[in-house]
Amino acid sequence: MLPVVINSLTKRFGELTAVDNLNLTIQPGELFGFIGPNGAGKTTTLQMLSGQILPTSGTAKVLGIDVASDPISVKAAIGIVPEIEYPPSFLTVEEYLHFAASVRGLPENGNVDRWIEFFGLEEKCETMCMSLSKGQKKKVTLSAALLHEPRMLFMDEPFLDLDPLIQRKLKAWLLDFVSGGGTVFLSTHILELAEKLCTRVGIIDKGKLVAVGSMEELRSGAGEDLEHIFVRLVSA
Amino acid sequence: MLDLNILKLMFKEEFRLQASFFNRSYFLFSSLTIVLFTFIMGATLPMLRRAVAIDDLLLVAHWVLLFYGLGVGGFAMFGDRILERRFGSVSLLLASGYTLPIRFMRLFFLFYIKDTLYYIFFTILPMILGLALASVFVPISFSSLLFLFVSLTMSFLIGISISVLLFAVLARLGAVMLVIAAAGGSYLWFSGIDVKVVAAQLPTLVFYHSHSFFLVLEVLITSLALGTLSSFFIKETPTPHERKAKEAFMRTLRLTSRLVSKYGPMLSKDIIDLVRSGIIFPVILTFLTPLLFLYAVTWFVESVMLWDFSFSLLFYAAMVGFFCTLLYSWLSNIDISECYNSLPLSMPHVIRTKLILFLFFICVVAVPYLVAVGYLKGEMYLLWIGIFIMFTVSVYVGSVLAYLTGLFTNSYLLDAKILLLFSLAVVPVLLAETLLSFYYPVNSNTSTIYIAGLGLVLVAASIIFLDRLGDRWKGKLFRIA
Repeated sequence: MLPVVINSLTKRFGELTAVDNLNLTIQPGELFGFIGPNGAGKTTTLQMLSGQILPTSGTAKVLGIDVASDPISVKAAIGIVPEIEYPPSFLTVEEYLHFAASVRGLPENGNVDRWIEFFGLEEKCETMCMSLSKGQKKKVTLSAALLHEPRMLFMDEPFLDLDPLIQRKLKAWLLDFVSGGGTVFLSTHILELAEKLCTRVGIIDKGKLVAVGSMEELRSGAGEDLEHIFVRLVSA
Repeated sequence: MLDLNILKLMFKEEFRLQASFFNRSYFLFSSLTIVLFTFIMGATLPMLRRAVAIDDLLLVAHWVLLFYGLGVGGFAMFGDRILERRFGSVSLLLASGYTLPIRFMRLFFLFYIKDTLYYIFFTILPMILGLALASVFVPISFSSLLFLFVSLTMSFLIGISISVLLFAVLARLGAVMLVIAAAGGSYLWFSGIDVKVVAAQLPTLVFYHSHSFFLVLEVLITSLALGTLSSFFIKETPTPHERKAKEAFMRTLRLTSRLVSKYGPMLSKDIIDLVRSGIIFPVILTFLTPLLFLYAVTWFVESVMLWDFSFSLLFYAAMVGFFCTLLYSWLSNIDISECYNSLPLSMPHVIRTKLILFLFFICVVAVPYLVAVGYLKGEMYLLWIGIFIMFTVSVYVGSVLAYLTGLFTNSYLLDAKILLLFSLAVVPVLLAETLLSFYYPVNSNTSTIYIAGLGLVLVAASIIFLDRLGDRWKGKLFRIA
């Protein structure tokens, strides 16, 4: 089963067409990078695919589930890492992860300890989320997205605010994850990261997908890096 | 000059903050309500005077304003928690001392001035305006209104200044201050002071009678001194301490899951959030205050205006259904719901959880209220039927509100179309229940049958609204309204 199948996906907010007739397929085991300028439609696409907002027209299936007709099943099957998220201020780290686990129907304490340890949050277990730094909040968000060991991840700037050590650890984990058959849809502005990690890249501009392919397929000449490709395609 | 600019910016910040909680029309709406209320009070002054001495009324008014000031000061200190719970982060001008070369004590003093002026403008001024409008119909002199404005403002000023000082000292000295306050309170309570005599010596009240502007100067200087003193308790290099707590979620979940398994996680999260943030107190007070106010108004109508009918317990039971709108509004509004977008939670699920919480608060606040009213009015025999009315009306109003406004009650209720639909659905029911409460003493058997019938209709209608709520709010993005 293909993890992501998108047909003519469109989202309008009043007069603004944020995503315009998007067609895309993502294969299992892909780490798909989704890049574009500010306001290009990256987050809107990610929100539609992860069942957070409904499309205006078109269809999208994630892990075989229609995102418009059954968004909750989509959210239950995948992991979502938004760019910015504020976990409930007065819950502790451990409590919020227990909350996320129970909402996902996991058994008591299921996997919470594993991700607390992975992200080095042991000393912050009893700290209320309001007292966490941005990076620590990001670690909590990442933990909540990975608790149920999903086969598909939708990540919006997951490396933002993380320290270099955790960034390195997360990168290694993501590569392991996709080599084991997992799929990642990664929205980012960090082109070097997309170039290094992603198996394929999609470039969106003004709501339209202007290019999609592997780095080799996107290059027009030898040695052209993703930054040059991006500038060439987006400013064209 | 800089202080004036900061003060202006703080005013803008307060407006925008209030507008983000409610709606821009809120300012007009709340001020008009105050104008209307004091207009009615003023217009009925001749009747009021027959039952209550004007001096007693003035005494109550001045002490109410003093306590209002205490409340505003206290609420300002709760403000950061409310913002934290709703937005997930607090970033007010008050915090600009962290990054800009300005002293925190100066910012705090300006914040105190801003809050004082803001509430004088939006509360006390509309009060006087309502009385001024009433003066067209009843003899209230312009000079007495002017003196009243000054004396009420001074009462408010005393309240807010004491409150700000208490909270500033409490924040700095912690439990020590609580012990001192408790000891002081106990001394006053047990020392045999005649509270009535002390109450009448409130300087602002004395000013109203004596017109001695020396007293105004005295109150003004004392209040500003208290405000200045409180700013000295503000740390110049605040180090926000890490707030910690022991795991309570799983314990709460085990309990809530036994009651409402499907909604257990959300309910447990909300309970911990409400209790730990302390917001449970403003929530209860927001619901309880109008209920107590209702009792005061009906007392006013029965005992002062001497209308020849009485409000039975059944009337209060129906009215709880109206005031519970405020309760649902608080519960739905004060929550940072954006993080639910990344979890398999639908908006209808979260709305239904808020309704369960709403029912819980109805049980712990409205039921004791009805018991107290039944006892005071000697109508305990009506309690069960009153509780039946209260629950059926509240559940119905809550369901209509949840269906129409979801998690965005404050914003949607100020939308003319939604407000009209809500009024069409709720007002006839409240009217019918009110009429039945008056008809009950005339024919208890027939009205009991009607009340039971109406109750069943309301339950059926609630089930329909709760069912349709799913379709209406399905697929909506959790966001800050």
